[in-house]
Amino acid sequence: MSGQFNRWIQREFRSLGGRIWVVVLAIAIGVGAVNGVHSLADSIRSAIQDQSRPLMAADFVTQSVHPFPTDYQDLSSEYETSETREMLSMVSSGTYDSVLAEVKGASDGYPLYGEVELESGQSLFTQLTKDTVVVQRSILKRLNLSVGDTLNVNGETFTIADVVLSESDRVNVGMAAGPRVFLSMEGLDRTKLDQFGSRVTRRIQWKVGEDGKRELLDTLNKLEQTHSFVSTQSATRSNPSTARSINNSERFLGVVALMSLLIGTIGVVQSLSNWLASRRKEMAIFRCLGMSRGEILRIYVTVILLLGLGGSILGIAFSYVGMLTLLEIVQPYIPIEITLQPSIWNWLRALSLGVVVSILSTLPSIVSTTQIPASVALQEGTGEQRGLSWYWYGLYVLVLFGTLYSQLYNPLWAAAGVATLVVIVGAVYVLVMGIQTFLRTLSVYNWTLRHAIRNFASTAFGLRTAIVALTLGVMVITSIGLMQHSITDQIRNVSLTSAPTNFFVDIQPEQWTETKELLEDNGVSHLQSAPVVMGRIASIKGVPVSEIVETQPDTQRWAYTREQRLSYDVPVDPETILEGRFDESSPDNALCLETRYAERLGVTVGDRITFDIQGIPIEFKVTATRRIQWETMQMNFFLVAKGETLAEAPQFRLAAAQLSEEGEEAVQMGLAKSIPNVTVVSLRNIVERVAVMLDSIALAIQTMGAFSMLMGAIIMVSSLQASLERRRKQFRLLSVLGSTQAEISRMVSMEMILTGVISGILGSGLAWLCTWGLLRFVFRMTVLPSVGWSILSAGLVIGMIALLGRIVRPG
Amino acid sequence: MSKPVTVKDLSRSFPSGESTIHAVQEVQFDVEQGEFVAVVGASGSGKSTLLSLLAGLDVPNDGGVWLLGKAIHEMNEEQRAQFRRQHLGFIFQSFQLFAEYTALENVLFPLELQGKLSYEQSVQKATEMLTRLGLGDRLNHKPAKLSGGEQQRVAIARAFVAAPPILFADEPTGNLDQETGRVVEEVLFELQRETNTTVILVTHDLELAQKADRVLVMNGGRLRERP
Repeated sequence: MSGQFNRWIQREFRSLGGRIWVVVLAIAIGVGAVNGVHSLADSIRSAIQDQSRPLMAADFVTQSVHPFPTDYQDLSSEYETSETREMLSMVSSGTYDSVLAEVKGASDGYPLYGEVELESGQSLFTQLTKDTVVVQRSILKRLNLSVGDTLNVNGETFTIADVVLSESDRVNVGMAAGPRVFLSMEGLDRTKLDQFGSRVTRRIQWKVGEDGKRELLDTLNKLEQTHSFVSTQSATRSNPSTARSINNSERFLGVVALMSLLIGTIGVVQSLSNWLASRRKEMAIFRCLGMSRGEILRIYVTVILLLGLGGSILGIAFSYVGMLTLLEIVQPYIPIEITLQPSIWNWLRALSLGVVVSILSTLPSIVSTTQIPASVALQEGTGEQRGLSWYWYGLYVLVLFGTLYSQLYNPLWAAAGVATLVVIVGAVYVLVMGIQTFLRTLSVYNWTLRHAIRNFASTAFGLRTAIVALTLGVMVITSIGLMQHSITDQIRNVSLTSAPTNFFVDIQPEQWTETKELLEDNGVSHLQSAPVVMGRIASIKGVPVSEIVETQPDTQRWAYTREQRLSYDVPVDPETILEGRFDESSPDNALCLETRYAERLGVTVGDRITFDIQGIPIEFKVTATRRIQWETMQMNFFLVAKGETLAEAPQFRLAAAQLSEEGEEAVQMGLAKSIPNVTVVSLRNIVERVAVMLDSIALAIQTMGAFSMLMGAIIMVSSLQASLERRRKQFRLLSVLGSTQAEISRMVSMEMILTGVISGILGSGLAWLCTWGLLRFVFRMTVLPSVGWSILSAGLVIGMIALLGRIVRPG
Repeated sequence: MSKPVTVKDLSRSFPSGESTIHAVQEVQFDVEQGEFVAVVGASGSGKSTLLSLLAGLDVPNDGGVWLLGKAIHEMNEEQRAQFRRQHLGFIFQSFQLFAEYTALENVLFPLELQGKLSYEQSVQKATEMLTRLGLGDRLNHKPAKLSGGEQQRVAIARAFVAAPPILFADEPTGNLDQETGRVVEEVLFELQRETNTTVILVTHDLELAQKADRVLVMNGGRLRERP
């Protein structure tokens, strides 16, 4: 750029004045939100990849609830491996003081990667012998024991040799059913906990060099096809639940980020269009004095490019600081160490997004403004700006599509988003036009009110476009508010008030009455129970599962081959039904599936599934799909059946209940004495930890939403202010003709109230509809957005715009 | 040698509803080098339209304008812009200074557009011009901080600083009080004489017009020479 060109650019920046901050902040908010979401998701994924070996303590892990077939034992002799077996068991100090623990027997060599950190600093197998255990400190605390004391595990006595501080492959430490007890394999055999019928999770960890990885994985996958009860985990297949959580969070935050970007874009277009309109006279003089249209275009495109660049850089800085703060809050509650890794690719993407959106979204305004004839320099005013040609609207649609595609990575979704927005904008435009036309027909005798209505209904000053933009702004920011309100409200309410503190597993049908009495004697609340029958899918729509899995990718097979837990004759909330019917009148052998699980299996209402229940094939007909809110932590099942057939099958009962800490201890003691086979899983810590974690996420969502809403409000007020500025001449004329300042102020206030009422009601109503659609179809939530919140939002908008009317000094 | 301004059969009309307004009709005249020509007429007589056509800000329906021997009515928009930046100066009724520019930057602008001088030389020349017009202590003031007379003197400095052979002035004293108007007039005539610039001035101020070398009268879009 030449020095002369630089100077022209500098002078144009000077003319932006305070508007520069509105533009830069608008871009920064949008770019920051988008970059923040991507950076965080990438960092979490990268952390999982980097830490997958220590997280699994191996390169590959095979897992089974049954003893491993000899194929695996033979194969393991060719590789460096270790073995673990895990189960839940009560451990005690030898008296009635006992606690449910996660007992883990480990073979020599475990862990193959990462470490089990002990308080003494020694290694695990220096401390573990057939007569010793290593335990978590909470066991010592609960049972009032110290290192060196003895611990009773299933009737066998062990010496506590050390305290375990951390173990690399215990990912969901916050979700553990109880504190850890480590034993050597010889020690575990001594306890006889691993016997026929015991619920034991067995794992073989495999370590292999880079060269042999592919070969070993192929062999393990082949073995898995033969022995379907064994599953293989690799770095990419480990933690599928974590991956799902990340994807879901990314989707939600992505929507908020997208809305922030849209608000930012509206802000940029509004502010820059107003600024460009205010430069029309200067452009005419430039043209008159001999500047070419190309030169003018270059100047303004460069200014906007620099603004886009500045805003994007600021946005990246915002997102980095924001993400660091968020991680600071969330890190204690997540099991893996996440470090924000600066990604040049993410930065470049954010920079180009900010710059391209800024330039393309304002290009129509720039081109249209630079079309001003040079002869306007000789006139008093600047004349009316010509409307945009149709092809510029085409460009807007393309920009919108590109913006949506950059976030959704799905052309169909992006096209659907564009179509929805076009329909919304069109509908708002027609509605506003209708209201304006109606108001023009009104006869009003009070001159200030008449003037206010005429101004509002005027087609001059580009007011219709301003009201449409204002309505869309209200819609977008209210949607963010409604969505975050609905989601965080749901999270907070369910997890803290009705979540169970304990699960009771493996209650035999004849033990239920006694168990229930014990629970009721100890002040139980929110008690739920259901019969559970174990089975496997034999065929779907008449096609055997063995044929179906051949066409499925490795990651999808589990859905077909895993052991399923079916429940029957439990009430299903009709509000959770998404498709079909499942109630008292449903036929025998009707089946209700969780909607995503049904999608995964490729079945819909009307299809038939045959289950193998302990060797007996039983056919069910899918009559409904439903949404389950897993985050409520209530007892839920993927599969709920109807009828008496399952009642005859071998089964156990599962119960969930809310107990006080004292009640929980008393129930544990009672069960240990009279029904020792019932396993008690304590969720107390989990509920509390989950609540804190969800609160942190809710805080992040609210902060992001609030930031976007604040920005939207600033943008709306500034655009309206600009529209009023354009009418100062009219105010002066009224003043000259004898209107008092009070009368003019009243007139402006009335017009602003009218603007606020129309855009507030239209915007909030549309926001309610959009939020309902998003919650229902994207997030699959059945909650309704808050009507009260919508009314409050409309009220706030009306109040804010009316206040603006009071603040404006029309002199 | 061709005359600096030659106008032949110049006509310009605009559609207005179902009728047509003939703003300029078959206008024809020449202007000699260094001549100061005033065009007078009532409001709506077509003065401003004529000025737009002469300066290449608008194009005629018929006829043509030759400036310094070039047929500007045959040029495209960009060629006309290039011609204006190299050869024409402008003074406007409402000054039309760039509000965000200082007085010095406003005067610098035509020199920057021409690009013949270095930035330092341009600053020196613009400073000299403003100092000459009594604004040496106002160089870094923005237009809003200057009086009407001062603003018009900045506008005159901007018009003359690049030494254009032809200068167009549109009611240069129209927005000024009588006393200030006379001061501005004096400056304008003085500079014109010094630089021998050809000036076409549009005004309804007959007192100002009488000081010109020649007065042309516009009436209903037609031009006639005042005896």
